[in-house]
Amino acid sequence: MPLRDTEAFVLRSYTLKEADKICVFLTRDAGKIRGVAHGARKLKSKYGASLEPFTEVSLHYFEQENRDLVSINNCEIIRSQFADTISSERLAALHYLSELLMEFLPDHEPNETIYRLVGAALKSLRQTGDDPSLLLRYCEVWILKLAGFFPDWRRCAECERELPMNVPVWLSADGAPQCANCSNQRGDALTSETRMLVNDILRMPPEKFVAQIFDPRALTKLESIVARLIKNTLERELKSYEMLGRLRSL
Amino acid sequence: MLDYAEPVTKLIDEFKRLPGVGHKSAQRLAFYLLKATPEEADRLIEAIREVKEKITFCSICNNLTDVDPCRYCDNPTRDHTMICVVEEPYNLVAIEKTREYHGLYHVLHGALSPIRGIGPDELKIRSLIERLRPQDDAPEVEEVILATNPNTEGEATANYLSRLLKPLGVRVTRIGMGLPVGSDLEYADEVTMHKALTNRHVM
Repeated sequence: MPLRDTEAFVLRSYTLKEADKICVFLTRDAGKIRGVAHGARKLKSKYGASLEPFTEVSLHYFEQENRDLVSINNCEIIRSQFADTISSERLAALHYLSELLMEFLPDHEPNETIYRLVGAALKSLRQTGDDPSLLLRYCEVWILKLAGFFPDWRRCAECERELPMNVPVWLSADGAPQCANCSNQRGDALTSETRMLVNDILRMPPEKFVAQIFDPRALTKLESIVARLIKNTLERELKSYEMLGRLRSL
Repeated sequence: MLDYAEPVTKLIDEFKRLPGVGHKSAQRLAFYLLKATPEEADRLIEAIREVKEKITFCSICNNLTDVDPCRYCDNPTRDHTMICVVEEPYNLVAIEKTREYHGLYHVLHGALSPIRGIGPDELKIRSLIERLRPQDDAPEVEEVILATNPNTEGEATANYLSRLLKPLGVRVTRIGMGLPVGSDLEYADEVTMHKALTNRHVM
């Protein structure tokens, strides 16, 4: 049973038996893993606040062959979200991000880009105050892209013709971009503002992106496109997405 | 093919539905009951039936009770100007054990958790706000103590409630967070220590 060390983000935790927890981690070296933290719910637990969502930790765990659940030996905090004030909007954003990552990332497949994306997004969360919607759009596009579900808007999916920014684009029902000829100008028309927005997401770091001011209509459009892509891919809506809307409207 | 006779399998399956009970524990419980006397089995059946028939939620504070209003809400010796808000009925028991608090309670039955689909509408928040409105026959509530769990969800719930309750002119306080008594500073993680320093008091 080898002991492994890695950096990780806590994505979620569930209670197990009386005082234990099952935690889902996004690790730098082993991708998404699940582990048991014995006695984690006790008041004097050695884990303290280290298993709160999106805490970045230095994780030490034992792994056994043919076992999906690892056994957590130690967890030391590197950076915590819990030290800051947690508003309901921020909680909803963290839970949404966590659900996105849990749904779109396969188990045990390390992905350095995703790991760095989460780290950078969490740093930018402090900048966004109580409206993290820009940051969430950023994360959604990147997570979908890295998981292979975000279509390339620079080319027509049918004829593969290049689609410059000034050329109108239509999205088919499955989210594939099409030129005027292939789409017969039917489907969801994409404005150049929405395309520019995605362009900015793909070329800017999150801290720079959330500091920009964008056309609210383009943001709303992108939100609906991404929500549809997620729903089509998972064949259901994320639980936290609906709650995100409800908490935002309060 | 069944491993055991059908009634035994059925009993094991029912035990397995209980939280924290796996197949082995369910099997152990079922075999204990098989060996128990009919009187012992009847006592258990009666206890389950009684709890299901008699226990309801208090119409004022949402605590579990066999009389409505519950014995806390109906007790004139308790301080009716203070309400302590907790997530679950068993949290209330932990506070009562201290014998330090003599006010009333309000049970939310959970905390905000978007990932589990729990938002403000799923919690008993509306009835809490109703209790804070001035009523002819009851003293006005002066303080609400937010005693939700010291984790991300409990903290977000407390912040949400505080934003909601402060405009009603009531004093909103949060239970202290920090080091557990009997522990050692050496073993405290930085977040717990940070909270303990933030919540320090003058001596």
